[in-house]
Amino acid sequence: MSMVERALFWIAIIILIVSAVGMNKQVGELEKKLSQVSATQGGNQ
Amino acid sequence: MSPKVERSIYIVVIAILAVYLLILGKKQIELQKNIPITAEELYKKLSNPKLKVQIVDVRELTSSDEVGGYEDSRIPGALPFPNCDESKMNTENLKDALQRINPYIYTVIVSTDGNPEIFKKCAQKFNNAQNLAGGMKAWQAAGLPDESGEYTPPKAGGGGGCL
Repeated sequence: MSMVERALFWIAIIILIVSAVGMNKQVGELEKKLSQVSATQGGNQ
Repeated sequence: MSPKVERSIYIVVIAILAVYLLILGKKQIELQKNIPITAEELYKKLSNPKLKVQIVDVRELTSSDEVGGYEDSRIPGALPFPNCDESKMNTENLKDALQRINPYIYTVIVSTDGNPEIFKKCAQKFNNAQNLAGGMKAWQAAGLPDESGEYTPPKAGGGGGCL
């Protein structure tokens, strides 16, 4: 396996890890927002 | 390690990460559906001509309560769909509005006070729907622009943009 091929694989892996971390953060924020909304709705009922 | 094995390991790692990303993306879309949009967020979206947002107002056409009905005060560009009931769309203008309602695009459902039960009932008719938090009451309380009067179909070649 050439160095170029290895480097390309690593670049792809790093891009995917960065995207996953970013998306995970967004999902966490949305979950937090949803729990706040549910709590507000529960409080109103 | 042989190059073949090494290459396989890289491919498996990439595949696992890609599947994980897909799962996260799906989860994100599902969560977004369950979170109501605030009046200010909707106003920002409507101000952006690049974003295609359909607003469907499910209130009665006229109402004596403080918020009023669709014809008393509505978000500019909102389409009437009283109670999400097709049988109520019996006038020429309302039939036109019903034809314009596209169930496949991102839709914000507007009720009097953002009642989640009304949203649940109406959201079934749309692929990607979000509830307006606080409904028309919140839009009016935020002092955002509104329009009134009977629904009239947009004129051909009139162009878009309402805010």
